[in-house]
Order: sequence, then structure tokens, then C-alpha cells
Amino acid sequence: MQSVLVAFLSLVGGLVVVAVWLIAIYNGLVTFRNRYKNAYAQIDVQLNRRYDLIPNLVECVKGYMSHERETLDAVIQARNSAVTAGQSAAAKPGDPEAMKSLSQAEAQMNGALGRLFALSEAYPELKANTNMLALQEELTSTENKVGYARQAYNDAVTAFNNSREVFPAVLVAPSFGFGPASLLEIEAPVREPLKVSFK
Amino acid sequence: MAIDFFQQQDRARHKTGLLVLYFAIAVVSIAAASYLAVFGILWFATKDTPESPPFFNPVLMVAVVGTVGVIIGVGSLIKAFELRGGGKAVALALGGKEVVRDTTNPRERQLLNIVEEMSIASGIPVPVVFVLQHESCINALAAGHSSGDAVVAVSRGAIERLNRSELQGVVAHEFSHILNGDMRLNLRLISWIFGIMSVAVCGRLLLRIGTDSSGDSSSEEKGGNVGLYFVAVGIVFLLLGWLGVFFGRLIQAAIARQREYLADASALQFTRDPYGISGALKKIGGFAEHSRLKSARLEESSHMLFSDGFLGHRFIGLLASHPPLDERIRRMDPSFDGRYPEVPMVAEMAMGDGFGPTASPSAVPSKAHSATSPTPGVSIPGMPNIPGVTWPALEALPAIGIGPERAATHVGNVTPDAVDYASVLQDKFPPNVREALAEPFGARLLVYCLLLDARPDVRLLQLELIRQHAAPGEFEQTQTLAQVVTGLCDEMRLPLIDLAIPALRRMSPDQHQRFREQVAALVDADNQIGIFEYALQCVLARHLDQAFHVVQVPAGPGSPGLESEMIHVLSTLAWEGAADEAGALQAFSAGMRSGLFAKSDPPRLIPRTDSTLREFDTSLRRIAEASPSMKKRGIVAFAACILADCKVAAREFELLRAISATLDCPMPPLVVHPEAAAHA
Repeated sequence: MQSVLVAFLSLVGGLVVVAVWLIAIYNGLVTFRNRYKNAYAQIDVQLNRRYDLIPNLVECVKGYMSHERETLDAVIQARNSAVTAGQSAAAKPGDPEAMKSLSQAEAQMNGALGRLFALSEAYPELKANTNMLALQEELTSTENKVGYARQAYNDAVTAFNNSREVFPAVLVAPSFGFGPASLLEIEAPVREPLKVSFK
Repeated sequence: MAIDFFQQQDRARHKTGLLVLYFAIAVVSIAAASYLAVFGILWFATKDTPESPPFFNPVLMVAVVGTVGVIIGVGSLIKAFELRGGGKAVALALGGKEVVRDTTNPRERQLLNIVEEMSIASGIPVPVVFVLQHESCINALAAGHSSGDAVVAVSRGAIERLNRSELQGVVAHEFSHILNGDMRLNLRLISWIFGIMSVAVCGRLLLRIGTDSSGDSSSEEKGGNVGLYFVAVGIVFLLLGWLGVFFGRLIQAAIARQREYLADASALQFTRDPYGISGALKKIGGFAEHSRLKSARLEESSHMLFSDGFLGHRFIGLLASHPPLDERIRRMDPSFDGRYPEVPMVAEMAMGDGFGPTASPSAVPSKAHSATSPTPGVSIPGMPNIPGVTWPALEALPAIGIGPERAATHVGNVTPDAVDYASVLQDKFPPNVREALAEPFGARLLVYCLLLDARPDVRLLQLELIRQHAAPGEFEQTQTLAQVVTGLCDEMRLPLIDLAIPALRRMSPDQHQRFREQVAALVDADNQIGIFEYALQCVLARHLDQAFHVVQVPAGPGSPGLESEMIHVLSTLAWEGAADEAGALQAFSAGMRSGLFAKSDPPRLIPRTDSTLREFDTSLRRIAEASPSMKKRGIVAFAACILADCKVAAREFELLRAISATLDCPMPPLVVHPEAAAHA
């Protein structure tokens, strides 16, 4: 009788340990998720800063590059679609679809900006404009910050994904509702060949 | 407040010791009671059979006591593991969102300004600031293991409904918890009580299994019996667990209530504005939602909060984590009549305070004598005109006789002047430095710049190191920042590190590791790097290690009374401040005379060639692990040594502050009253 009781007690002790362990796994996953969401907020701040700078940039170059309407429109358009993508990504950081569309929109915008800067080389007065220089500097430095924040975010996402894929957690993570989070990769800008005409 | 920082720390340690004792008593009595109960059940079960079990049964005792011990131990450990993330984990669990320095929300900006001012004023790194997004009540909490990984979290309701001075009162209250070491105590208590609670959880589980199995196998005679055992043991565990938790909470609450009064009093001392903190408390009383957090995690974190939101119902008095609201207000404001004001809704408040989406943070109404918060990008305003206070010139500090004893009482002792000084100092940072402080990319580069040597050849070497490992655009920005940082005066350098800490903590662990490697490389670029740069690095390590869970190898036990460690540090400091051996000797003996050792034959100064940074480092780390009273003696001696030439150059005082910070004794900046300077 006694040994039965002892066995039961130890069994129950074990059960409790498992239950508390499950709680710990769940709480750990929540913390990791909150961590990458907070890391995403850092990117979001910098991205928005860039989105705010671009209309100023376009306003600044408009006077000089009146013949390049198409390029300017493309920049504005790319910027607007990036803003939309950014908003949906900020609402669901880590969501594979949102991250993908953001990274595409960003690549598109970088491409359009790259074309704008390449074209601006042809306008010496524009290159000498202090306002333009300041804006360009601001854009580059913000881009550096985005890069660094993105690295931190990707590290946080990787940590989260690892924590949900390791052995005991992988059994319960899906039933707790923790899907995989997705990295934010911004591809190198899509550069279309510059059309140079010698007419 | 006559009690100084070191006594306060001693008390916190003492309290922790007492808690360990209480907790041990609780565990032993739960185990003993469980054994008695199990024995009772057994006796009851076997009373019909001829052989009755002996009262003392080793096997049974080991099984019962072992089970209870394992349950409590594992429960506590798991909770402690969960809380290992420190304050950040607690704030994240409560649904907090980190406030970043480049926030565009004026209210968040204001909160951050207040926290930063308080940090510079107290000499601790800026804690990570969280806003509890989903809490519309008025509340706040400080959490973390030490000032290195502290967070301050404020509910959304608080930043929307409190004015600047009230919010400042709340923040000062939370800072007092950080300075007094209350947070660590709380985190420990949480994990222990969770351990005891595990017993109750276990009991409930047993009960369920018992009732299920006896229901299923009622036809089977033996199975039914076993089910009954389950039920009986389950009930015992449940009762004992809850009883244990009840007493645990009682102890926790009794301690917490005292700490709350202390924190209120400290907040008053920090801000010298009784209307700030009492105003905030009154608003809590008058606000319909009080200070109740919605989060499910409320139970365990209730002792960290600013207020528990009860209006002083006496019947829960013993278990309340906070003293009654009206009592707290009366201590601040004796004329309080018990009537709580109506708290305006958010929209009205926003109108009344002149907050629009475009209003700059500096439009925030503040105390008459307090400087308004700095606005990024605005040109540097003049010093505020505060009667009776002169600001130490930012170029060079005049010769001030500040006694070493006074320097030591300075530790952890925030004054309203220091708070004002802090807000002025913050305004002095050039816009691009402030911008760099906002996010990790720039904050990192600022630290590199602080470590750059004044000598051109070493500097070139260091810059080359930075260039080699630079990410795109990094090197160019470092160079721009370096020009500005080099021009900063000495008393702005340490606050710069304190201000950079929150952004640095936002790095990912990988980024942090690369950053620390770079810092070490910069310090090692030349073996003769100044002790000041070295101290900066120590401060950095101290505050980042905890946030990134870098485990420091313990420095190991020192010599008896830490004698040789103290001598080492003193010697290095003496050589640092002196031009020649005579000067070093004089500084060293000044340190010795401060009453460090009660010995007849004074120890000798260690020759310059033998006082290495490595020794200095181990010595400091050993002293950092010593008791508060030992640290106090050390700081008095270091101060006497540094201040031996009767002049405090700003740089020397900053060195003292840096060393003090590595010993976990935050020392506020020096604000000089003209009359005090005249008397000296």
C-alpha cells in the first residue's frame, strides 16, 4: 500500500513538472515573439522616416528635372506602394506574406531612387544644391540604420524560429498557435538599364 | 532622509536574508504538514488491518518531503528562469511596447525626457522605457535585477492623464525602487511564491485525477480506493499550497508596503515637488478605472506597481501590496480631505494641455523652475536661471573643495538641482549626437568615438580598426561624430554613455557581441589607454552584460578585508592624477588617511610599473562584490585620493563617478551652489 502511494506521489510530481514546463515553453515563446515584434518596430521607425523624406526629395529635384516626369512619378508611386506595404507589415510583423510584399516594394523603391540619383548626375546645379545634398545624406544614413535594424530584427526572428523548432517546443508550438515568422530580406535594387540617347 | 544609499542597500540585503529564512521555514512546515497529513490518511486506511504503520517511516518521509521539495524547487527554478530576462521580460509579458527615442508621439517623448533627466540626475543608465499599450488605467512599474537591466513601464492611461510634474513624481518613485534594490527582492519573491503555489497546482491536479479515476473504475474495488487516496492527498496539497501562498503573500505585502512609503518619500526628495506625486495619487483615486491593470499577469507583478488601485479598504489591509491611497497622499499632502478629483477624459486633457499632434514636446507645461524638455533640432538654449544654483562651467570646473565624505553621501542621492542640471546637460548635446543616441546604429558609433584617444597616432590606429570592420556608411558617420564628441567637455561623456545604453540594448545578441569585440579592440589598440577610457568601458560592460546575459567570471574572493585590492586601485588612481612621484605619494596617503584600514603601519604605494590595468580591473570587480559598507569605505578613500590636490577637475570627478558606477553605486553629477563653494 505504501509503495503504491509513494509511486503515485512521484508520478504526480512528474506530471506537475511537465505541466509547469509546458507553461514555461509557452511563456518563452511569447517573450521571443514580443522581442521580434519590438525589433520590427525599430525598422518601422526608420522606414517611415525614409518615406517622409522622399516627397521632399522629389519636391527639391522637380525644378531641375522637369523633363524626367516619368522617373519622378515612378519614385512617388514606388514610395506610395512601399508605404502601404509598410503599414500592413507593421500590423503583422513576421507574417510571411506581409514581409514579402514589403521587401518587394522596398526593392522597387530603391530601384526608382537609384535611377533618380543616376539621372541627377547629369544636372550639375542639382548636384551643388545644398538642400539636395542634405537630403541625400539623410537618406543614406537612414538606409544604414534600416540595414542595422533589419539585422537585429532578423536575428530576433531567427531566435524565435529556433525556439519553436527545438525538440520539446516543436511538439506544442503549433497547437499554441505559434507559426513560423519570416525574415525581412531587402534585395538589391532592381536596376533597369538606363536609356541613354545620343540624339 | 538621513539614511544614505549604502545603509539602504544594507537593509535591502538584510531583508533578503530574512526572506530566505521565512521561506525556508515555510518550505519545512509545508513538508512537515504534508507528511503528517499523508501519515494520517495512511493510518486511516489501515486502521482496520492488524498492523498499523509506525509514525516514523523513513521511506515514506523521504518520498513525501522529497516530492514537496522537488515541486517547490522546480516551480521556483522555472519561474526564476522565466524571469531571467529581467525587467524586459516582465514588461513584455504585461503587453508593453518599448518607447524608442525617435518616437513621434509627443506624450511618449515627454515620458522619455523625464526618464532621461532622472537617469542623468541619479547617475544610472537610462532604463528601457515601456508603455503598457492596453492599459487605460494610471499605473507604472519598475522591474529588473539591477540598474543594469532595469525597465520602467508606464501605462498608457498614465501618460495620457498625468501632467508633467505628476508623471515626474511617478517616474521618481520608480527610480527610488531601482536605487533601493527593491526590484531584485521582488523578482525573487515572485519565483519563490510561484514555487509554493506549484504545490497547490499539484494538489488540484491530483484532485482531478482522483475524481476522474474513482468515477471511471468505481466497479473495481481497489481502483476506487486509489482514487480516494488521490483525492485526499490532492486536498491536502491544495490546502497547504494555498496556505503557504497566503503566508508568502503576507510577508511579501508587509515588505512591499514599507518600500512604497520609502519610494514615495524618495520621489519627494528627488523632485522637491509634493504636488507631483500626490497629484498623481489623487488622480488614481479619482479615476474611474483606478489603477487596475487588465493583464492576466497582474497577480504576480502587483508588488512592482506604482499603485494597486484600492481605495484603502482595511479588511484587505494585511494582504494589500500597497499602503492605502489616502494614507499615501496624506503623507505627501497633509491637507488632503479625502475627496478625489474628477479626472478628465483623454480628449479634453489633450486640448487643455495644448497637445496637438503637431505640438512639440517643449510645449509641455512644466514646473516653474524646471527647464523644458529639449526638442531635437532646436538650437541650444541658454542655461535656465535658477536662483541659488550655478552650473559648473561646461568647459572646466572651478576648484571646489568637496570632501570625500560628501562625495560618498552623494551616491544614490538625487537632488532636484541635479534633475534640473540633467535637463540642461541634455540640451547641450549637438543635434547629430542626439540623433545618433536614438538608435543602435548611431549609439554604437558614439561609444567608439568616446573611446578614441587624444593622441593622434593612437587615434589613427583606432580609426583604422573601425574602418576595417565597418558596415556601409559606418566609417563616414563615425568620423563626423568623432569631431563632435572630441569637442565635448568631460562631464558630458559619462552621461552620454548612460543615454546611449537603451539604444545599445536594442541590438541583437550577435550585434552586441561584435560591438563588444570592437570596443575591446579599441581599448587594446594601445596598452597605454587612459584610465578614464578604461573606466568608460567598465561602465559599459556593467550595464550591457546583464541585458545580454553575458556571464562574468566571478573575480573570486579577494584578500582579507580586500586590502591589497584597495591598495591597487588607490595606487593606480594616485599615479593617474599625479604629475610625479611626490604627487602620487601625496594622493595615495590622502586615500589611506580616510580611514580605510585601522592599521598602524600604512601600506605602501605600488610603483607605477606594477600598477597594471589588469590588476586594477580584478581589484575593482572584487570590490564590486563586497558589502555596501565596504564599498562606501572604498569610495571615500578613492574620493580622498582623487581629490587630494584640493581641486576637482571635472575630469577627475567624472572618473570618480565612473568608478562608482562600476561598483554599482550610482553617483549623481556635481551641481555646485555658490554659497557652498564659497564656504569651502
